[in-house]
Amino acid sequence: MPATRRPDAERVVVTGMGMVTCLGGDVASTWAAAEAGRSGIRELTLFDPRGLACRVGGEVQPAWLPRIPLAPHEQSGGRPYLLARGAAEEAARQAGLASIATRDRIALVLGGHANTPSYDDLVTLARHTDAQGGVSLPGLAGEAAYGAHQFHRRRCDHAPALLARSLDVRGPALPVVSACAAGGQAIGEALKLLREQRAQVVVAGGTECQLNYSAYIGCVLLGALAKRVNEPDKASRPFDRRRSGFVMAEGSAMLVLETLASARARGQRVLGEILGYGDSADGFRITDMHPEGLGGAQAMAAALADAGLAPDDVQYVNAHGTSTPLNDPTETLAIKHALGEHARRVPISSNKSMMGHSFGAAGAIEAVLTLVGMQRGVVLPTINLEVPDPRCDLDYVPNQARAVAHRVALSNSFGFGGQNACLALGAGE
Amino acid sequence: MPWRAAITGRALHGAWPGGVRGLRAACARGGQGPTPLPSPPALPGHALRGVRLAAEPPLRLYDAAERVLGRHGRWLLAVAREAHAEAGLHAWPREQVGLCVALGMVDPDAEDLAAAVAASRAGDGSLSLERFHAGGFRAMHPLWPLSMLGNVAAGQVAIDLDLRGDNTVLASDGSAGVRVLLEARRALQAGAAGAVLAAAASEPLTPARAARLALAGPAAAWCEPGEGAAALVLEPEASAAARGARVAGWLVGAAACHGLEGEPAAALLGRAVQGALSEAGWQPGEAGHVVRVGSVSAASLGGLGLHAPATAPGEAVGDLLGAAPLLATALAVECGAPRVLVVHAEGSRAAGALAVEVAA
Repeated sequence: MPATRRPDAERVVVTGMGMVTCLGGDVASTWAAAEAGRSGIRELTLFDPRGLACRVGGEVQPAWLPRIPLAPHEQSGGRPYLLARGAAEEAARQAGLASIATRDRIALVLGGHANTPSYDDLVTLARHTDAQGGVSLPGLAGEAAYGAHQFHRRRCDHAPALLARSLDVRGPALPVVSACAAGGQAIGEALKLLREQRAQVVVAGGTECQLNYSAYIGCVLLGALAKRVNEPDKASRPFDRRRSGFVMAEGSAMLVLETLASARARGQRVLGEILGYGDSADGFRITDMHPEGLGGAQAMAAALADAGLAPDDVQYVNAHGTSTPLNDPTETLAIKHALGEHARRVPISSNKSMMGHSFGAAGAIEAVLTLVGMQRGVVLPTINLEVPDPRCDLDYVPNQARAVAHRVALSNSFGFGGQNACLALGAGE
Repeated sequence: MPWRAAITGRALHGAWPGGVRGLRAACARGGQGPTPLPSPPALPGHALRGVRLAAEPPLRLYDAAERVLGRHGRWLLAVAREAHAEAGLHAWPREQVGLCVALGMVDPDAEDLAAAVAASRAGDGSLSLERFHAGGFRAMHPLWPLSMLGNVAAGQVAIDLDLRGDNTVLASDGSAGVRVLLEARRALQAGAAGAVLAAAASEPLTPARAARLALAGPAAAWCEPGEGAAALVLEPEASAAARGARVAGWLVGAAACHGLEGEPAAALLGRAVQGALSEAGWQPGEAGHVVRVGSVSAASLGGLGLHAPATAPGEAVGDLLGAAPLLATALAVECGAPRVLVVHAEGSRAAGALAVEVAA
């Protein structure tokens, strides 16, 4: 634990958590499925994937979608907003957010990338595009599907604005758009808001729903998705020699964060603590991670320093662990750089083996699961780890959850474009 | 005494020549102002106007960057390089230089899709979805998906300038521009970075963006879009003084607010202005000049106690969305007053204010 404690007014704790994922419609059901090592990866139903080499993903099942009647102005938020609203409601209930009178001291930080132009959008645009690339606006305006909502659908600040209104959050509302690092960075930015006393409480997390044709073929074109998939639940296999790419997923997780002083004053149960945050840029290539994992290592070192922790204090690492040929050995190197010899003693696992990769939501989902794991003394498994890659030679908790009493963990999120985030998480008191 | 972030680098790229000084001249003479966009055609009832970039910045890039950056990314990189050089950041430890970027939306460009559409035509020339599914989509460039990610332009700036410190990317529109300056100043104040490059770019005026604006109706009626980018380098006052950096001014206060349910735009703007003034320790009458950005009208300033002369660069060069508050801050230093307030609003959605002290 940190050698020197910050004062209670600067310690940031978690008092509410919510999630909607491909494993369940809330924290409890997602955790139960993950602890059992179940996979949420299925054949896709949200669009027709015929003709594509990869046809699986982590969809939120219809029964798990939040049953929240949306006001007319909320319809424009689409599925990313709906999932975020569901996760936020769960977290807000647990934290008693509604009872806080000073609404201007509540902030919101949301990672995610709004609605991708859908396949229908692309087809609609193509229908009104001439051979020179000119677009007929009157033609577009005549399309019912391309109405005024189109203006908002792709705005990354739209879901945070809607969420702030629905939760009556009156402090700052920040949209973070750093690709796969966004969920972790959102929690990191929330930590800063609270430590600097710019807010008393922050609702922070991520939401992402990119399981549509255009986003999916984008990842097919990049060659980043799992290939030769016969069994959907075996498609995501981080650190396994036979991994062939990541599996796309959707989901959302939200946390209510506040200073320890605030939680005590409100009589809220502390579910965990955000001990520190580190971020960095790879500054290497737009398409690849730094081959030695230096950017990831710098983010981990920064998180440890921010938390006042030594590498030996780390008892678990929730890896970014995407299941791509490049990420997993590179992240292994990054962990070794950051933790030194201790890297060989610390359990590491990838939630993406069960849940796929939900981009801007992943960092928040993994932070919540890490906190629940500390509460329960359980480290989640990396499933489908059957033939270890010799370059991935650490303890990845293969295939079965493990009982491990632990109170300090790191959670990594590394983004396309080279942005890295690492959260140092604690069990709280 | 407010905490002062020194401005040691400024760069602008837009439809006017001559950078910051050129912008000042354009504002002084009223500028050309937004003109009707020749394409796409305006909808009935939507007189769409805007300012297109006169010339793209000359940049030499490697192939992958060339493909993924897009026009807005090129503008961002151009101003980032220029501000970074002006501030003399090359000698800094790369882990200590932070990056805060504001970007708008990245639209699918008809050119990106054209090859796939052409490869998916049926015999009668119509678009065949079956052919598109069956492999027509593969005619799109494999790096197209990366070009659609908002943060990729920021990632390229980090690569190009070897910036490896604290970083964040915020979206969308003008409020993100205020917030990146606010976050940059906070990062410096908290010691999370030794210097921060804050940069932003507007969205290119693509047919899709024009369509969105036209179809948004009153929500975007105030916006006459422009194309361009702006960058500032901020560092702690003591650091700038210690290394003898040329300081153009100081950011001494910043506030950003989102609109509350039912809150009038004037009240929202008032909250933002009050926040920045309070942080700067100023009274409204102490601002010797005001730079208006976004939907802020000249008439709205008096109600906030702001009676100083005002400049509205957007009237000359169009609204540069996230880049507009940075552009306005760069311009503030040239306004001839020792204290300048930048005020920004997007109707009743969001508002922000930035308090700038100008070096003698």
